[in-house]
Amino acid sequence: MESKVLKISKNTIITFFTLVFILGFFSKSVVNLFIPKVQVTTPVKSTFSRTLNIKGKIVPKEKVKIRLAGSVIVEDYFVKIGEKVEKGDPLLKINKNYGVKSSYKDIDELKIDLKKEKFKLERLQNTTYNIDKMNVQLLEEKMKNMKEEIKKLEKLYKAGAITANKLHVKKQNLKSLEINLKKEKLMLQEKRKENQLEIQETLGNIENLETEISEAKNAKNFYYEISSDGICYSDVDGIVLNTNDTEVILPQDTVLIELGLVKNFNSVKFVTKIPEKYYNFISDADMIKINSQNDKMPDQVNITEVSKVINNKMIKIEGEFLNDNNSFPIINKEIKGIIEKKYVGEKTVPKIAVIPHDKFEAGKKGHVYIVLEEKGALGTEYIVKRVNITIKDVGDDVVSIDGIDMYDNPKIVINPSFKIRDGVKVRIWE
Amino acid sequence: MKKLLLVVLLIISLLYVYPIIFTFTSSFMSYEEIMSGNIHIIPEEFNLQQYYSIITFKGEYFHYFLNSIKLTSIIIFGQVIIGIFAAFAFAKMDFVARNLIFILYILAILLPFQVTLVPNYLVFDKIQRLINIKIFDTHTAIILPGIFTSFGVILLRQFIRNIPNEIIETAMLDGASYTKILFKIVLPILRPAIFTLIILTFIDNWNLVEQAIIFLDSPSKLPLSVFLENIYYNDFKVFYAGAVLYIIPSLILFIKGEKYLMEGLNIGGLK
Repeated sequence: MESKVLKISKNTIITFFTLVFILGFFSKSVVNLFIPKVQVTTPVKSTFSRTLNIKGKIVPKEKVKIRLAGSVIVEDYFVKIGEKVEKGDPLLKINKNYGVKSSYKDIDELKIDLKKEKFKLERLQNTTYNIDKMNVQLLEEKMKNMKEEIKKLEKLYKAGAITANKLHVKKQNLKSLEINLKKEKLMLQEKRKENQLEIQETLGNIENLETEISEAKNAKNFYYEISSDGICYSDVDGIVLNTNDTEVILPQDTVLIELGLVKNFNSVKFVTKIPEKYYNFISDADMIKINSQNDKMPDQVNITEVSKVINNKMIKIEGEFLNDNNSFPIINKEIKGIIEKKYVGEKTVPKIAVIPHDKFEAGKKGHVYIVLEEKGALGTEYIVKRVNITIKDVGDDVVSIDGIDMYDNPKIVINPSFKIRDGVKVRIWE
Repeated sequence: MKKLLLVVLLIISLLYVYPIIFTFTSSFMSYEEIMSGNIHIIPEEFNLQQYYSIITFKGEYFHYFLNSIKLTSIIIFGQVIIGIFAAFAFAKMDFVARNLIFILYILAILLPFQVTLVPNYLVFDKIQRLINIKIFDTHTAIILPGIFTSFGVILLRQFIRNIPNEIIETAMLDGASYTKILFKIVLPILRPAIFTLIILTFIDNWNLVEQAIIFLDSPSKLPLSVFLENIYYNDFKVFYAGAVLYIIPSLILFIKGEKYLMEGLNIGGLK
């Protein structure tokens, strides 16, 4: 039994060392078989760029909306969407039987009414009430005389020259005179109040008329006019962006035709929307490169406005085309472009080296695996170490990172896999 | 009394064996356990990390191992061939100044090899200058002096001398030439002596140090015996495994050839 154990032990030891020798003599093959191979790179200072592919369209900078000053029925449109129109071209024809049911009065009529009101105001303001005032003055004079006469009569009465009845009659006359004076004064006061109210009312009327005239004038500018044959003609050169329906009642203020004032690339702008998460990236970008097969199209757009679209989690970007060559732009056609931003990174590594791979954002934490060398007389061992880093800037293929300053020219693994963990020995794949 | 003697002998033998056991068991310890400073024989945790490192990243070890194998095997082969022919001549052939030459051979064996290193160096230098053959920093500088040592000749001569002359004379009467006598009669009898010579030469050359240090400049040409020191200082993590692997060939050869070694030493009268 003992010899059997000894034999097994002996065989095990011999087998073990035989294996060690066999595997050792094929060292490189063994390494290839069992050790994870890693590709490494050293962080470098470099200039890198990040590009954002966008899709946008060309829209006119200025638009003209054709409305009529009342509800209408359009019989026919003479233009189609995308068609170029020139000043004087017929745009549409309305149903003459229905006409233009306008809510606006004639400006001339309004002006006459205004004039009338102004005359009325003048008249009211010039009303003096002189007769009434004179009546009051006369009554006051009369009262004064009567009071003096009563005083004399009282003296005479005390002397016994006149009777008490005569004095009493005079006093009664004076009272009735006082009542008349009061009445006259009240009437004068009432007339003045009434005059003031009328003046105010007239002023209000004048103001309303002036507003109406102004609105009517604006409306005249705002609305297109229809010729006597029911046709509406274009006042501008442009391109048709939209047309409304025919054979239905279109209420006042409905846009019948929308025209874009397009002459060349200077008269249009590039508009695009991108997700809100790119706001920081876009905020200090200034140029869009246009990818177009059309040689005549300008290849650059200068970003002029970046605004958030509320509740939509999108950002609207507008820009003007540079290098206009006087070619005619195609409105609303989808155009692809690239927004490129340049960065300078002190320590840049390929994106694939940074874990996690999915969300690269400036300021985010992550980690990389660096390969540490342990040199010996018999060769070098490479051991993986996990190092936490912070992403500084993100490019298309590379990222600039912080957190590896303590290592001098670290070898960073660029093909990390599940086998690569902290402390794992690896082979560097040249 | 006998038991006491046994105990004393056991203790003395343990003193001899302890370093080997310690090296062997340490080769299965982790680097941290070795460096912990607690000297113990049984590993706390059986660990093959040292062997794994040698097989994988420290593959250079086997390069030096092969250097040793190459040097040792060529020297053994050369010494056996030359030894057989020279020993047969000294033992069974008559020629002028045979004894005088043999005395010179004996004198050569009396000199420590460290003494002969300087003359060897001067001879190689002279040869290099005269015929423009590179000897320094090549294995030739170790192999040539190793092949032409007198130890093998003297050892084999002692064996051949023990072969009765009657056997050889009878063969000659039957018309056998010296060559035929050597290969047909002497060699089969000489087998234990040859194994003895192989084992002794192997042990001698497997552990050679001075020759390599003096004649070899390129680190890549060094034998493992010299490079072990370098491993100790620069790759201590795998030193014990390297040392165990270094012992293995000598051990196997000794275990397998022990019988022949004892037999050969007895017959040769060297014991």
